[in-house]
Amino acid sequence: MLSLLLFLTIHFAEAKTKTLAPDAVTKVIDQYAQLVTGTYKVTLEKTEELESEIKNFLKNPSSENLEKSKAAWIVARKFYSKTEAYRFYGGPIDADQTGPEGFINSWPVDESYIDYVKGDAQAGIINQKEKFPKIEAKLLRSLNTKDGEANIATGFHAIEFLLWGQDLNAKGPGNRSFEDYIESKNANAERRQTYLKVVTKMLVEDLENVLTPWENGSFVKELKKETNGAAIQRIMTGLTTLSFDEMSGERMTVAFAKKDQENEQDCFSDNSLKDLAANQEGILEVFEQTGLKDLFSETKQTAKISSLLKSNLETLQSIQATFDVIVLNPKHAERKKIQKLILSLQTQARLMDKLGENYGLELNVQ
Amino acid sequence: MDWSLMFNNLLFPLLTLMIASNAGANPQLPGGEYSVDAKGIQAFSLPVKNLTPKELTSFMVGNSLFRSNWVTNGASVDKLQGLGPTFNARSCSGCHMNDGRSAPNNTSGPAGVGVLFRISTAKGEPHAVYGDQIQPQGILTVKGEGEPYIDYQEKFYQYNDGEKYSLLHPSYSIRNVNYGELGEVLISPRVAPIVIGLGLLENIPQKDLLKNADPEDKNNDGISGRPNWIIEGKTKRIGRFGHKANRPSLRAQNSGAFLGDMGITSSLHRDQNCSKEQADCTSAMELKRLEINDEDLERMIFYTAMLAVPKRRMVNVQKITQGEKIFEQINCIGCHVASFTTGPSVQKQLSKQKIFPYTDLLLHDMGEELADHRPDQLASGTEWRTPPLWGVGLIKVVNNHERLMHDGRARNINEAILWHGGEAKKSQQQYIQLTKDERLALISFIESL
Repeated sequence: MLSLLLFLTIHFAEAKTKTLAPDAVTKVIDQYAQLVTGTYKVTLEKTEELESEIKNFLKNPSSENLEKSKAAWIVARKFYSKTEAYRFYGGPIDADQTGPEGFINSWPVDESYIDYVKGDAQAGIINQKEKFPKIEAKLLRSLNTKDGEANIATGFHAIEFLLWGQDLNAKGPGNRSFEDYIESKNANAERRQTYLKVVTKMLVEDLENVLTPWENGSFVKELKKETNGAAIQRIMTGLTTLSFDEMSGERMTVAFAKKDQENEQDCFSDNSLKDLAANQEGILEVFEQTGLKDLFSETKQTAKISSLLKSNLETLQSIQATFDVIVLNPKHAERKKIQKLILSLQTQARLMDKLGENYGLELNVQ
Repeated sequence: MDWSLMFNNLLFPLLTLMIASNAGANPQLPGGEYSVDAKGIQAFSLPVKNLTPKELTSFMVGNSLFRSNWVTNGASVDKLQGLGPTFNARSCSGCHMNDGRSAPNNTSGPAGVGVLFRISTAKGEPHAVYGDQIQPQGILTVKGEGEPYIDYQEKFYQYNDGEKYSLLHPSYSIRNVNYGELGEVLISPRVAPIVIGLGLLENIPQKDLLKNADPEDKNNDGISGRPNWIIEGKTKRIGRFGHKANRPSLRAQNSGAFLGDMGITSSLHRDQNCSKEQADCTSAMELKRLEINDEDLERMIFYTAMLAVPKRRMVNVQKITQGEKIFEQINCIGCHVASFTTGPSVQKQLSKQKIFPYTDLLLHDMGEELADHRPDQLASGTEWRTPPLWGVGLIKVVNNHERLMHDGRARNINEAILWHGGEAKKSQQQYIQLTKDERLALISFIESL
């Protein structure tokens, strides 16, 4: 009886899990690498454009030039947001010990650590001349890792804070005056200029360091060494974790549940919904443009996923309001869309999880 | 037919399953029915299965609170303000990285953010200025309290079979204090333990824990575990959490850690962690409210209660079976009690679950070499709580290290066993007398838990 049971168990166990053809997997890895390299490259280019706009603004501080810098930030941010689909599996962006994701994208930044805040005009490294006589990259990197936790005063959101300033109400984004950067108008304008220059340069460097292992093929080599579909599991982990844990969970559910006006990724510029749309674009691109979708013979399942990815993207792109406004207003017209998205972003992750299960991929979606 | 392969991969687990499911228990599921399949870096970060949508929201908010950096007061993000003014880390995950375990620095020098130093006067009371814990960090305008230091001395020994081994003997000091002389203090260094299965541990009936207590060693087996009774007002409960079991509940543990490690006030700890001698600390900007509200605190507690326990990893069944026998033979099981059944609970994932944490949660005298000489509630300076062993084999995957014991002095499971003294000395001596094969088998068993 026992041996019959065992025989049946083995037989059925083997019948259940399929394998992905190694050649097909290699092809997807190559196409994925092409997409990722391309997107990081554009992100780097746009960030270099941001750097040059900022340099121009600092040479000629004016309201117009500040707006140009802000616009450049928003563009660079859009492309960076796509690359978040490549996180969460220990790739170059977030490899243990060496991944610079925290330096690039950490949130929240500690505003009082950087510059003045409401209630404390002398706050921040910028205003503490005696304690921090020289503002340079070396200082910021060492301060950020001194207590073992990087990432409180650099990256996209530090730059965002320096361009927009604190967003203290829901009527609009932060509204920092360009005069913060004019020496005759602000005691620490020069230090603020230096800080902004330094963190922008650091961001460019960090993005270069992420691009390199993709561009030189070294990370692709690592992916190709994986067996039993582990590389595909990693790629898909990026998609499911971004959808479920980050977008649906951290960035939407938590913000709503805590009713915290500025609990949003781009809390100074109110750009968060655009980030989320770009996140979704990044996911869709990986699924559709790398051959990942066609790796699986379950065409009904993959078609369903494609369709859901597209409709969620459309919904995100259609929202007419900023996040903080929707969070604060229980009766807001766009609120239903967010609530629907919270659930359907979970669904897109679950569908990918189920798809992967057919091949023994462990995506661990709740 | 390859019978040994069949046995390893199918027969043995199946047999265990058949026997165990008759008893309503499955050692392959250390966290009970809601254990999860997880072997990678996320192994400690998954919620128990079947949370309702509302519970999932609580879990997500708790997760967010656990991972987010808290920031100095004055920030735009209202509900993450409150850091410090002095602190050990900016977020829970700063030490409990990936819901896992922290480690001290590898070489003599600054201890690193992964170790916190509890302190007290020679009499066992909080220090008048520095309190009961050193907070080395401060917000920008506030100096940290001082710098914890470790000095390692490597000492060499040998097993019965002649093979040599070494252990790192740490000594601790605090340098460059900023608020006046520290004087003579007792120092208890502590690393952050893994965060899984805590709701289950909290739900073990007190009477079942007490069944294993034997403070007078009436049964003469050399083991004399006893509870750390924690008195809060009119209630007296057994301590379960913390290296000396000084916290009876997740509420106490979480709120205590919020204040002590990050400077976050709550309804259980309303006052900021500054003494009047710490002028820059007391004059830092304060909020007109508690830094974490009750709703968010409850979500944090829920989160820490509902992190799932990973299933057993039966990598080499023969070795593991051999190791399990040795675990019993040399009486590791005397303190690392294999299983309990949790009590009834409205939370189904915590209710009546047969779990296998491999701990009795009691205090044991572990000998002079491991002692910190600092009493904590009823725990003496030589006593430590038996830690759970579930998940210990995954620490190296989740956190990229294997530092064990209360201060992370043991560099791996083998060294952790070798450090056992006091009530555990007999077992340690038996371990040293095993063959190398037998030692490795025992370690295989422990790694599979």
